[in-house]
Amino acid sequence: MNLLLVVFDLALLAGLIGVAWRCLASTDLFRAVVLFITFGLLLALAWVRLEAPDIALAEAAIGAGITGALLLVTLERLRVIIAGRRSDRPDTVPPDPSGPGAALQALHDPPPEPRTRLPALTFALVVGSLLVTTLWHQPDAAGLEPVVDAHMDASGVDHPITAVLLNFRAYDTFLELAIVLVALLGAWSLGRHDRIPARPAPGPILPGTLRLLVPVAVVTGVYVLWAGSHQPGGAFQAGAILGAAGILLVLSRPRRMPPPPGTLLRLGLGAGVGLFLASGVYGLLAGHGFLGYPPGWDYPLIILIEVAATLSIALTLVALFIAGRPEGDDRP
Amino acid sequence: MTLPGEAWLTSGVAGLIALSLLLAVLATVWPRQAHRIGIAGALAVNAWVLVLGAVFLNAGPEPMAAATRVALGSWEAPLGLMLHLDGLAMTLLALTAVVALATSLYSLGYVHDRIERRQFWPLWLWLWAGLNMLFVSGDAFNLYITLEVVSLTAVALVAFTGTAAAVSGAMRYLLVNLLGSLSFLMGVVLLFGEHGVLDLVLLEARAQVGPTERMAAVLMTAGLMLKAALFPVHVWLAPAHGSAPAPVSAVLSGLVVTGSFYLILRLWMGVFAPLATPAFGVLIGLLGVAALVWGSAQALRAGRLKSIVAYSTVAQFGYLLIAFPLMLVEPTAWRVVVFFAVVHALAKAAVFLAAGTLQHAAGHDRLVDLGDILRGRLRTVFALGLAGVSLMGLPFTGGFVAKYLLLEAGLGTVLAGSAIGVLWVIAIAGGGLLAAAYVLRMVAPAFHQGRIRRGEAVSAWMDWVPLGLALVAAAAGLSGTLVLYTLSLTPGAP
Repeated sequence: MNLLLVVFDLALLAGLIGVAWRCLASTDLFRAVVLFITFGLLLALAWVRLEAPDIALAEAAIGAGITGALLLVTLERLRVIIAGRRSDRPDTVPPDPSGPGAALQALHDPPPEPRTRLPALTFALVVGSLLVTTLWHQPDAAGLEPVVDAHMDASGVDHPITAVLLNFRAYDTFLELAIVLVALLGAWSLGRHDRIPARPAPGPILPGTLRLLVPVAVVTGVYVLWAGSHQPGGAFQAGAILGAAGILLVLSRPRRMPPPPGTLLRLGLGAGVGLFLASGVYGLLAGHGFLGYPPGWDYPLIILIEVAATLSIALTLVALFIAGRPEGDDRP
Repeated sequence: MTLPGEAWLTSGVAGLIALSLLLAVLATVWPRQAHRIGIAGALAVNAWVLVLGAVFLNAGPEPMAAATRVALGSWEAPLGLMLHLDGLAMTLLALTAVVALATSLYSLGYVHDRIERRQFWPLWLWLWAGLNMLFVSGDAFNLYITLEVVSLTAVALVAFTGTAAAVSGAMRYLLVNLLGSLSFLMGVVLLFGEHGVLDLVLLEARAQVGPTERMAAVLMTAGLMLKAALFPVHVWLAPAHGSAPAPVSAVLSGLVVTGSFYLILRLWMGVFAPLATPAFGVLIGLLGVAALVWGSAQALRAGRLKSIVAYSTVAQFGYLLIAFPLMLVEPTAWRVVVFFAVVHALAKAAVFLAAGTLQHAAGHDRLVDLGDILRGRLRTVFALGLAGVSLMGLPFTGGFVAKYLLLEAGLGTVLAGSAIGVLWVIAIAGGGLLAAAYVLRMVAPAFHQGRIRRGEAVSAWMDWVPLGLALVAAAAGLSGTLVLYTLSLTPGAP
């Protein structure tokens, strides 16, 4: 049994390195993105093997799923932009942006020059072997696990990861939420997106699948959020699952999407950080320290913050997928 | 915990962070009022920092009396994470408040389009909050996250104008920043794996000279050098700082780069202090000399006003590197280095703001065609020149005091018998001459004969704020004693 696991681990490791190599070496960008998603899924497996199911969930949902979708949609945009540019030139036949030619037209990245390969490989090998040697010398320490376990009864939740993320080190988690929001603010500052027209469904399969998938995704997301207080799960993973459902809706867009009202959208995006900060400031004023919870209120406050954070993360991820800021945001 | 001073300090630090975060969140959900929130907040934060500084200085002459550690959510380290306030953090908080107030007022005039304003202010307030959090963070992993907040907002602000040059500069900046952050994070992971704690004070107590510390020192320093654009990993700086909007350039060159430098200093004075050897110091010092020469040469060759200023940041940061070998001989020299960084940040921000006004008036910043505008806008040229004089280090300015003290430290190493000390002294003195050359290059056309033109109208903020900040930079020379005293209230540092 143990031998089998060792073989599995070795195969997983070889697969990770191989896929990463193919992804970096690929000159076809579409292929590189698909390989990147594969890499994310293998990495999620690796986290499972390292007995870190929370990180595995996050890696699969955000690292492979949402990031992959973002990369793919960027690729499609680039194709449309490049096709549009070519049609400006009178001497070439303008390709139909929606035709099969445009869809198959691959985006290429020039292969790296051979003379840069050797220095890059040497650098990677030297840094890698130094890291391995350093890790080899490190003691087999348990880190902060005993300290966290000793304080679990005061944390308000039953799952140590959630206790660390939303209580012991809540400040870090608050800032991580802020970073997701700041990424969206950055994307929005670059421009407005065009109206999203309806896409005529090409057959019964897409709307049918959607009708089945979206409710399942919503239920799964809410379950993962709820589960976070006593087992692997939590706001980031749940937000990613709900965000994926939103992205599916945007992709298939059975009917014309009205622009969301600016104020409401901003409120939804800021709900996670807003509520978190409000609870933190209350803690400071009431004498429990900044980002501290009043005794006995830790469980309800953590759940409340997690619900708001899930909503904000899901909204932010969908908004990042759409990319530009909506029209409603620029109204006077 | 019973002293009223200490209770004030602990809630003062947490309150400052809460206030700056509150401003950023408010501006995010209410972008229509973001500029009003920003200005009101800038005034409030300045007042807060002023009171905090007064309480801090009043807390007592003993370094341990004033320095404060604040547990967040009442969880003490190693379980929770701690903020800390000492002389070094207090000085940089005050610097950030002053530069950020000037930049905010300037932005009122610079970013006047209604839609642009709504995008600019939330990002800028997040950047400011990130800087405040960086300076008071006392936890290795939390430092990584605050660095990320600062980097991401800085990248977004560089790309703000949306021109091809700005976006490609921002993209380069993003990639460099990500590489730097990952390198830093790897170092944090190694330290955590070895010692099982993330708190900087606990790490410092447990750190020895071993393979983990060496590898972590290399990774974290290299990552931060990338972010601080220290020679030889500075190539991204000029395109990013040169193509950003003027207030953003001022904050990037004045504060963001200083933030990364602050972290290098903090780590090498704490966790990595046992690793510093004279040979390593000399190597860093030589990099500093190279930065000084190369950056100045580029500044002398550059054709655009803002490029000159951006390259001068590379050159001026050479001084900070030269300070490392000095610190090994004279441990107290670190205070001089921080004072130099403070003066540089003030002067550099003023120069960038003045350059932005000139660029706005002329519609471009090509030095050859800028003569008529320079002659027409003498107030701005005066601000540019005054801040430039501080960069050169002429007498009676902050720059003079800083360079004088640096030279003194350099001569001290020569007297201590270090032959290479002569090189540091020559570099510090010669660097001032090079700075004089490129500053004169910027203002000289104002004294030529020729057409006089005021160019496009600029708002009063853009006219007066650069001058005000340049005066502050020059007057910083008078505050030398205060800053050096504040810095001496750093426990654990010599």
